[in-house]
Amino acid sequence: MTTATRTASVLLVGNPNVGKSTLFNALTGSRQHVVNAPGTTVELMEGTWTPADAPVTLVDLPGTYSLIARSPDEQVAASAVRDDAHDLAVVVVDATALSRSLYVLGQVARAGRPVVVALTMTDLAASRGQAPDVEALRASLGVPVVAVNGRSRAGLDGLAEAVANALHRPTHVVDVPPPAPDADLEDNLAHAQDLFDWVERVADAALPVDEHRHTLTDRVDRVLLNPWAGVPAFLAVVWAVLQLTTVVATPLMDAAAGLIDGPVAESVAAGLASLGAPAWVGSFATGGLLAGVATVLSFIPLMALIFASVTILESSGYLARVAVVTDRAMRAIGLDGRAMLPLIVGFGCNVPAVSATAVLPHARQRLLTGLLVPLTTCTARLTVYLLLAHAFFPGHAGTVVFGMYVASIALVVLGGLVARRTVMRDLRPEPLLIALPDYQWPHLRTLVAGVWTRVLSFVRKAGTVILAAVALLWVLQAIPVHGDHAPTEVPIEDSLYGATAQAVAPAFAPMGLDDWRIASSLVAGVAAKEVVVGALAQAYSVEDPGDSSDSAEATTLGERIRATLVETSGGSPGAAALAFMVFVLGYLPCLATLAEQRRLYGWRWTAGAAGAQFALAYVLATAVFQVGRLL
Amino acid sequence: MSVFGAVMERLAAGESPRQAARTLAIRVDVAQAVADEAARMGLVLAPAEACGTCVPASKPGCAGCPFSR
Repeated sequence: MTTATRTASVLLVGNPNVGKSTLFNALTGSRQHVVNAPGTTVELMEGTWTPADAPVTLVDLPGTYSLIARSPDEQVAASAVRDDAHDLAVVVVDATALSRSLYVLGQVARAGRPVVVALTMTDLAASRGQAPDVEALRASLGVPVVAVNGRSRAGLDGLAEAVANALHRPTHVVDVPPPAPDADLEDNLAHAQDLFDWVERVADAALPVDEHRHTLTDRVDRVLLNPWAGVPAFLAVVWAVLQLTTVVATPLMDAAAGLIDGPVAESVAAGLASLGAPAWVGSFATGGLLAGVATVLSFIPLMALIFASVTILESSGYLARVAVVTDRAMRAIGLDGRAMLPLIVGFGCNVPAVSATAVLPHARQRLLTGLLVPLTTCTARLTVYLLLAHAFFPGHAGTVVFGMYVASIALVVLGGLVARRTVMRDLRPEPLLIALPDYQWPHLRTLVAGVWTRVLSFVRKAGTVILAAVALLWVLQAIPVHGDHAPTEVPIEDSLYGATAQAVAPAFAPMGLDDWRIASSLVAGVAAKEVVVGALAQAYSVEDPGDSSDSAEATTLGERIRATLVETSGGSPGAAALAFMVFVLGYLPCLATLAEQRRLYGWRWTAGAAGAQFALAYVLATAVFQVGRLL
Repeated sequence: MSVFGAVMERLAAGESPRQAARTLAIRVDVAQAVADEAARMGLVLAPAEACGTCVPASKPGCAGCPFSR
């Protein structure tokens, strides 16, 4: 109720994109200004409107689908509706999505606010044969309902009259479920159930029967969400992506690496020599830094293609389907469905995946999932697979890499099953609930921006790590532990790096990998898996070709590794390469992942799981080599 | 069973809100509103939460991960 000394305050409430701001502009004209919502940085439009003889303050609230807020903007809308300082709410109801609007209307009514309904988009709803019956709506709600059009100004006089009347004689929605107190989830749930039942009753009274047409999304989902077709379809998509990226990226990768290793390295070496730089500077620049740069640059085309594929799958709505399909598969074997999301994230990077286990409700579920995450093969390990797959299986590189992903999934399932039957017997699987979006075409601009951002991030972050690691390795190779050598003239076997790697290398003999360069790359890979390829490139580049008969004829890194494995495997380099990949898949999480696991689960679980994982990887890689050499 | 509960049951069965609406013979925007409200209550994952964890903005991420800046 208004007084002579107080200007009434009227809120404009509604879903996003229902024509609320258009209506606000039509009602207030130029008499509007921007204000900050109390205590926030959220900006609101406030204006003066004169519906009858006295002006009112009209506040255009941020659009929201619910008064359970998810953002600061929505919180401002929810707070304003519950604030008794406002006299009336004009709820803008979209005739083309009546039920969604009615839900917010119900929440506003339950907050005790007097209501007038402004019905928008009626012409569009009529063209679809879904125009609401305004009289029926008015009868069901018990408040004024006025069809308006902010652009043509149709219905604005009627709205003004309804608002003026409601300010003198407040109108409340009838039959709406009673207001919810500040409640816990169970109470909120019960109230939401009541409110949706009310929405259905009102919508049924006001709308014609809805015809459910089968959309393209429905037809596609019939296949992709089918329990029997969905998983094979997902695997086929992964295979196609890997096949495409490896085939397209290979020549580009070779060209980038060749450019840096060849003309660029020669130019840098010649330039430094002409400037009179010391020999160790030239050695560091070409053997250390440029080897790392070549590694980073050679992976840019590949990563760009992978990122583009992921972005397309994500923005099209397909990845959400993958979560549903894999959830079903996991539940079928007794694992918790909600654990699927962190595991899927793990295929991008293990660290956020471990963190993402926080969404799981039970501590034991979080623990099991967090310990399984390192068995998902992250993109850093992909670089190793690609290098070896191209070198050893050039005609089937995509399929081999795909096989590593399948092996990774198999290890996760195996690990989960073993844990569920031993240390995690008390776990009960629960389903994953996702609101699946309709399929849509990815926007080109979003795609390009997403790929560019990720590639830039890869160059900055992975590039930094790789360069730092390669530089550190060069320094370790310059520290003599035997003999009396100048820093740039230390034979690799006399360096700290070489001596350590040679001491470790025999442990890899059962896998056909008894070589100091391979061993050193695996040791370096504990820090971060991106470093494995960089360490290999660096180790091969500093080695004196004259001292290495196995790599004298080889030019690319892949060819040099192949020449090495021919010797270490006793003539079964393919089996040794597969063993190498399997070992990299499983042997140890990177330091960042271990740190996150220790933070969340404590060092005992972390150390225990890492030990078990290392043993598993060692046994599997050995088995792969030993069986493979017999075939 | 309430509309809310019925839609939740269909979502748990792997249906999209649109499919749930057809299965239950209710309006699509009701099913969408149920999914949205359930997501606000933390009962249902929105698509962006389901598969968007590896977008560049995700934190934390390992030092070398191009998926997490």
